[in-house]
Amino acid sequence: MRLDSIAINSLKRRKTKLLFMVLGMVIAVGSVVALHSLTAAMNRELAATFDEIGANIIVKPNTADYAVSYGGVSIPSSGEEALLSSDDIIKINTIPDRDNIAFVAPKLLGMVEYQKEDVVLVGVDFQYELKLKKWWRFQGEKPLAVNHLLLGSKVASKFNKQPGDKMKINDREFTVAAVLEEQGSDEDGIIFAHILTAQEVLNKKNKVSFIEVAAYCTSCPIEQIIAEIEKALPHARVTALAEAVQLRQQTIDRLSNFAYFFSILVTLIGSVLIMLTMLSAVSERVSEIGIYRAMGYRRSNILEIILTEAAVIGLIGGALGYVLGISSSRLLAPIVAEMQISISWNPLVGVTVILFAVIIGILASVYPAVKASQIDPVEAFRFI
Amino acid sequence: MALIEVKNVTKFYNSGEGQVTALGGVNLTVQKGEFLALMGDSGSGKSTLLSVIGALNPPTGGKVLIDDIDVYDLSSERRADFRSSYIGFVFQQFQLIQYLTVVENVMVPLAILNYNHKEQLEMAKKVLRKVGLENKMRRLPNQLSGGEQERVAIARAIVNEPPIILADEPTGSLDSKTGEGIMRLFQSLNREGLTIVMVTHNRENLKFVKRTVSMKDGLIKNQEN
Repeated sequence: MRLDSIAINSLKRRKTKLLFMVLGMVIAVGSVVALHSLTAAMNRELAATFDEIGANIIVKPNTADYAVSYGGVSIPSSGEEALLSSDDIIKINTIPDRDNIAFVAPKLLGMVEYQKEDVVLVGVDFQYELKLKKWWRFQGEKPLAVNHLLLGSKVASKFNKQPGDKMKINDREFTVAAVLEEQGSDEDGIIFAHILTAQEVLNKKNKVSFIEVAAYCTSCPIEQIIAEIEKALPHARVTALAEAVQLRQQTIDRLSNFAYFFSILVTLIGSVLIMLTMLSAVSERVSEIGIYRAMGYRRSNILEIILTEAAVIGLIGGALGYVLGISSSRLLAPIVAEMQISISWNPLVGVTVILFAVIIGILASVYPAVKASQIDPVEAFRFI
Repeated sequence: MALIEVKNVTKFYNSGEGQVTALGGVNLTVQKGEFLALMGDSGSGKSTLLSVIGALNPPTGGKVLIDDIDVYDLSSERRADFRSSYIGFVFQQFQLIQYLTVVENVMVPLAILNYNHKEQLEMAKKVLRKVGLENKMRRLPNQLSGGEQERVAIARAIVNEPPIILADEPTGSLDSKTGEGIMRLFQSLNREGLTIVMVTHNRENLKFVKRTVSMKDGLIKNQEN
């Protein structure tokens, strides 16, 4: 028999106290695990679906003197227009945090004449633009080819164009692939074309008016990505858009902060609960500890017995708490997070949680253990 | 040869009514192989003297030498080691650990010594055989009779082969027949060479001991062989 056998047997025979302490530990660990799993999973899920959220960074050239605008960027009314180049897209795609960039959507703005009327032409990469503008609804087929046009509703009605109709702009023939439903914005008065075609039509080869970037980083702030783009494009102005992703991130940050605060609170309450229960157990065991001491047990032996009991409580409570935490967060995720998130079992996290619970159990029991070790062996006797 | 020497030992306690004298200057020598009974009324100081001899209760004054070692000159932890090697206790009310089985209770003193589980088990079985309980080793204390529990307590006291057994009212909770059986067990252990000091109220027990020391008001009144 070893001292740990004494500790384990002691716990086995005092089931009510064991249950009480383990339950306290399970609830504390379970709550902490559930909260952290939820926030971590929400963060991961956000990162995985950020392309659905839209662009959150806009890269513009340093210009002044604007007349026509779209998406916060204007076409200058006079003078030399400052533009970005197609190479800038490559530079953005090669920043150190490039893995956190979902896609880069360039745009070229210009004025064209159609039926003697000035119309804004915006060249886009339809593949990414349609991902960015999830809310766009249109009649006709999805515009993808270089000769396809997507017409804003006002433009379509002004020139009486339907999907499938032809349009000739600057001597180049296009097919109206689709007509946008009314957006109630600048987009209603715009003709969207493929960016390569727009560059030719507007005679701005390899030029880009501005670039929208969809990026998200779970481990770094968005400002870090902005700084990296600014470094790669010193001639550009890079700004973050206060859009859904940031608001969502703020919510998660708040939840994350709450999770930390709650964890500290729960850990403290759990520790106090264990400490008080251990103290009560020690006071009930004065005679027993006195016997151990009378038989030659050193103070360190008593400490070892009590702390082993605490470690076992931490071990059981930590393991069950982890199971409870993950299971409950899986159940609660769709309700709390309002998103489909996956929370998986992670052995490394499990071991860390159990280790944490063992340490908390031991730390909370240090004071009762010291009190136990100071019990006078004379207590084993009855005097006078 | 004197195994235990108590030299002018005093013990005072502070109570609400002032200082209480538990031991008023006790001198006692116990030879190796003796079986000594400490008699006296309640409050005479016999249990205090036993705990002082047992290196559990530092006296207010005087010395206790066991095997020429001044036990209260040792640090608290060294005194614990000393108890582990020199003294086996048999407490009042048996004082078994209720959550351990009979064999585990007997193995308790061995858990802090350098014996592996197999050795511990062998030693425990050997002493349980000696006290006639080898067939009840897996039982819990509350599944045993009073006499059996006392035997377990004796087995636990002798398992690590200490030279001295200190017993505090070992038959106090037993009927006379069971108590006599326990006294015969002590007698046989004494014949094997163990030195035993026993506190008792019961005059019936005196026929088994070699010497009786009577105490009154914290002092030794007389000694009989």
